[in-house]
Amino acid sequence: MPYNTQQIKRDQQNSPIPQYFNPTTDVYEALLGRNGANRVELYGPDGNPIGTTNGKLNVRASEIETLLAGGLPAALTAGGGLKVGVVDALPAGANIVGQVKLTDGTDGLLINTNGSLNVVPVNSAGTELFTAGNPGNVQLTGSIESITSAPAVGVKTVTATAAEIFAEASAKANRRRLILKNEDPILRFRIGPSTVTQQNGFPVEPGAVIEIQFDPVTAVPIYAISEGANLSVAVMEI
Amino acid sequence: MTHTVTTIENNIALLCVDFSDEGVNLQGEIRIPGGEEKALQYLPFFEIDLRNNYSYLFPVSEIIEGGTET
Repeated sequence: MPYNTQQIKRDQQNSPIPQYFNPTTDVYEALLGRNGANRVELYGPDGNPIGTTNGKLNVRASEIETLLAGGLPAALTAGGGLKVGVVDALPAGANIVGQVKLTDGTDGLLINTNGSLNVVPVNSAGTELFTAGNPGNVQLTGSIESITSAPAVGVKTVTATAAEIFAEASAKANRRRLILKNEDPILRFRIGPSTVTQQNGFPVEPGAVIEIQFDPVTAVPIYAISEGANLSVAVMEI
Repeated sequence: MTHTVTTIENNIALLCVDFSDEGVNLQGEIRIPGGEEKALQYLPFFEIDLRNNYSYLFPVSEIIEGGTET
């Protein structure tokens, strides 16, 4: 029914109250409000009410429109991404961060081709270490110079037939050093790889001591051969 | 003592010895260039070295002292 067929609302003094006509219910209803203002529903230029999402108006402010229309490109990266300042901690996950500067210095952190961080060690004064002018002090632990197990000792007979040389019943596992002492007062013996001969091996003079250092994780057999008669060699493996 | 010889890479023989048949828990192995023939040539020396270096593992035969009757 049209509004002019309905009775308007009145107060106790029979005066009209602020009201509006509700076409859905076909009656006048009192206007509600708060803080001295009426409740208002916003309508867009298309005549439809502006909706809300989670209690917020679905409105793009003019400032945002301005940014989107031309203000943002100056802040975009070459790839079209937004340049942003990271304030909060990055969430866990595969975040890819490009060049990072820890301070306002001119040099950014460098990433190696294998993905590791390129780190230049410096001392407390900021001077780069391990250079020719500032070599720095280093203490190694667990190096192959250290003994980690009991040494193996024994005496081996070296003959004119080349044979592997070691201290005990077989070469010491993960040995770091092989020490040989020629106990013969006259004869030399020679050491080398499996192709060692009485001519091409490295000579060990009578009474001489030779030390060979190894990478403990790589087993390398050493062979010995006498230049003449059989002789005894004292052997220690560390 | 028992022994085996097997050829491994590059004409290198692996000579393995075992003294278990003598009641001694001792095994050894050594690489010998030149193949099985060379390994067998070196076998006596390898055996003697092991017996000397591990003499504490092998039983000592008692020497019976005695004299001649007059």
